[in-house]
Amino acid sequence: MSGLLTLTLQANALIVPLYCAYIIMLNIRATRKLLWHTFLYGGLAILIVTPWLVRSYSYFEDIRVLRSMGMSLTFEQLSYFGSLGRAVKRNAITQEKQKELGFINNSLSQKDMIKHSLNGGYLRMADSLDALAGTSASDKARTPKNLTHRINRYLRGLIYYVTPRISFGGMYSMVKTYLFALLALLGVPVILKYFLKLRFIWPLLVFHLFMALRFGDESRRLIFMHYLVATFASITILYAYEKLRKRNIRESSQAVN
Amino acid sequence: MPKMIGYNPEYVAYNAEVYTLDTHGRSHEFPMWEKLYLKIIQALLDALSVFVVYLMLVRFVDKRKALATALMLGCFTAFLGVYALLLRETLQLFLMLLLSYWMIRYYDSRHVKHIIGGGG
Repeated sequence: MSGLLTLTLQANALIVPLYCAYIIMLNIRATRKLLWHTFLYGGLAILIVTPWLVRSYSYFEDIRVLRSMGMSLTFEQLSYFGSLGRAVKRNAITQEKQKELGFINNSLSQKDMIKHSLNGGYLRMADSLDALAGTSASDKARTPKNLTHRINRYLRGLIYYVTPRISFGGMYSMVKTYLFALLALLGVPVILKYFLKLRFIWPLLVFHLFMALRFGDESRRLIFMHYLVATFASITILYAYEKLRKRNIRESSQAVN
Repeated sequence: MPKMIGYNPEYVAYNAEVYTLDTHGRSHEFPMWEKLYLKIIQALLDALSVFVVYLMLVRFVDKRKALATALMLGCFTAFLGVYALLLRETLQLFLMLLLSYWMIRYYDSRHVKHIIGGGG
């Protein structure tokens, strides 16, 4: 599963070392088993990803393509999108122009996307957009300006850890967000209660914490957490319902007596 | 029903007017008539995800409670409606839940076959 997960999103590769640590933690007293299981787990994950990497290398014939694991959404392309966003924010270009440039880029073939990434095309376009918008180096690095900004950013990430984004297009409307905020309040205490028993998902909790702090704005990346919260909220609701039912039965039997 | 599964006819007309560029349906802002079957597959994957959650829950609570919880979860996640958009997250979530399932099995047994499931 870890190998397949890495193929769905490059960042998921981080799950592999986290689960390796989990396997080591479970077998800390059996060194031979520890080594064999960790090696097998990591090796299988790499084995599953290897054919895709070989395909990417043989298609583009440039080792640098492996930095993005052969996927066309490269770091350079992300820089370009970031510059587009900043240029709109600073009114250097209109939103319509941003969409048009985005769509022109999307209509490129994968080979062209990789080509522009490797020959510096995207970075040159990003630089000219930044120059047009007068973006400073610190803005480009997305470095929070001061402590308040930093705390604000991390807190926002932590909120999205358990609750979907406040509003985003048609996917997460306000109603849905508030429903999940309520679910989060119900689910979190139960998760804390079962925390030790949930050892098998500790690596995923750590992974999603990292994702929340890095990509909190894109809360769909944290959907596993939202499912987890909803599951434990359901358990809370179920326990509350049973408790209420038992109390009603007790009260009605007392009334009959 | 079409709106429930993420299809909005007005959206098609709007986008056809505004965007003339052919983007091969890459962006999820674009109409996806022909990709409706993919959304159905995503909905099925979402249902399977709920089933995997049930399989894990029976290890914590009794079968009846696990079933009720899974059904409630199904309602909540249908409301979230991620499968209505063509995104990798549905598949990713399903794989993550399967990974969790293999790892809970590994935690119980420490057997090598569960490592194979988790690693693959």
